[in-house]
Amino acid sequence: MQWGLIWSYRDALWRGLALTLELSAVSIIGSFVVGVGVGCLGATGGFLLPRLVRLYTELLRNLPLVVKLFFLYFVLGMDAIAAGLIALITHQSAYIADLVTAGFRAVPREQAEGAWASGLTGPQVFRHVLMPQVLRVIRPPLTSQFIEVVKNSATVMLIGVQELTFETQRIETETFRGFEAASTATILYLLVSLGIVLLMQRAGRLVR
Amino acid sequence: MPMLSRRGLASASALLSAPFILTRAARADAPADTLAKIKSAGKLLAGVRFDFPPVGTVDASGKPIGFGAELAKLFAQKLGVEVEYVQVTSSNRFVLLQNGGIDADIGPTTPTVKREEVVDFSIPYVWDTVVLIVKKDASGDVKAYAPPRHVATTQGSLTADYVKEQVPNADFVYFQEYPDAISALLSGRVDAVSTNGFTAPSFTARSPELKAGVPFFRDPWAISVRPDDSKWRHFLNVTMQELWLKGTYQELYQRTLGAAPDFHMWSEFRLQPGIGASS
Repeated sequence: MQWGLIWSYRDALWRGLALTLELSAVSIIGSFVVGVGVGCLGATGGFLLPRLVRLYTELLRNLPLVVKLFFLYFVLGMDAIAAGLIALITHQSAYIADLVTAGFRAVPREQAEGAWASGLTGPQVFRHVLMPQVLRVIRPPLTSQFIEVVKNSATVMLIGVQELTFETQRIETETFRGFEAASTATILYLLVSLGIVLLMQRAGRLVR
Repeated sequence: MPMLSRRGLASASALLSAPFILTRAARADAPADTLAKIKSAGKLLAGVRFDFPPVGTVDASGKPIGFGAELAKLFAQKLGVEVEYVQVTSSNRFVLLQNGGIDADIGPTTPTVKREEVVDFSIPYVWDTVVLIVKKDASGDVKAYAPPRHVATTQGSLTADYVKEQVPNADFVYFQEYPDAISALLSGRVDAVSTNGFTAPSFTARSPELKAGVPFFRDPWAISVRPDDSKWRHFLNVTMQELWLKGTYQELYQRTLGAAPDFHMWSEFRLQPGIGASS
């Protein structure tokens, strides 16, 4: 075991971790906004809208992330970071939209009807009655989705983005210290994921 | 590892330590005297590449072929043991060596100072070149690929370092596999792909719009073995030089790599090879 070697790569590791955190943060916020937006549309009535939403989620969650990534990068010729972000956001937003739609189904129908009858307007019902309950229901599975974003962000190294996994593999390919490199990656990803869990628990108090 | 023996640690730290425990267990399996182990086990565990023609690849039936696989067979023949091929990749070759999964990595591995800290190397046994694969109508000169042009290669490929010796500010994009790098070249995302001279024809032959540029670096390869395993390393070095003396080595080199060796592996007055023109 040569942990000094890992320390000598601290700058590269820090750059990789910073990029992973940036990619994850933007993708988590992006997929949450898009996912909630699409999910809400899916919960509305009507004929066309729910079917379009269904098309969106089925198409995007059934395509492997790598396929999206390669399509955006090689076929559409997008910049590597932009391709990575869009792939991560569209991928996870499909799952989150599905969650949100399910969350609306979990709120008894009578609540909206009751709120409606008490004189609240449509947006008020949505904002004060439905949304708080939906967020509370979906918070635990949403945490898993956000952790999934962090783990999926490693995929963008396939198109040359030098994030955390890329940098830990660099240590391995340059020095063959595979165990140290993999252990370092394990610890850093665990810490990031645990950080998300803690943040989401805090957020849980807000919607309680 | 004092961290493990200390009491009262939360279960989280035990979880974090899991990779290290596994590591220690794995290390214990590697034999100290590989030559004795091979003889008593009756088989040589040869680490060969499946993805690196013509040094290591597989035929239609999945059987390993190429320079590395055939050389491994010659080593086994001399010892009178069976050879068992184990697939290695550029990222697991040294892990497998360390945990005893292979006895030697017989592939396209360049000895470097950093790598020498983890493993020991045989004498250089193949001398390759480094080239750029470029579009047919583009310049084959490495100097022409300074920014704004982009060069691609695979992560961990030392060819990037050799390009940077010629073009210090070269703008590199690192892919995980060569086919992705070649895709990037074909789709115009990058202007060149740096790779090894022996490998380049396998890519250019499949894409008529590509060509190999002018070789600009001589890149030695060596067999890697576990550190402080002198008898085994000595056996490999001596056997290769014996094969050279018989002419078997040159014949194998020409047949599998497609070129006669342009170096000397054996000379009567020194053990290490004298490097130079073969004539």
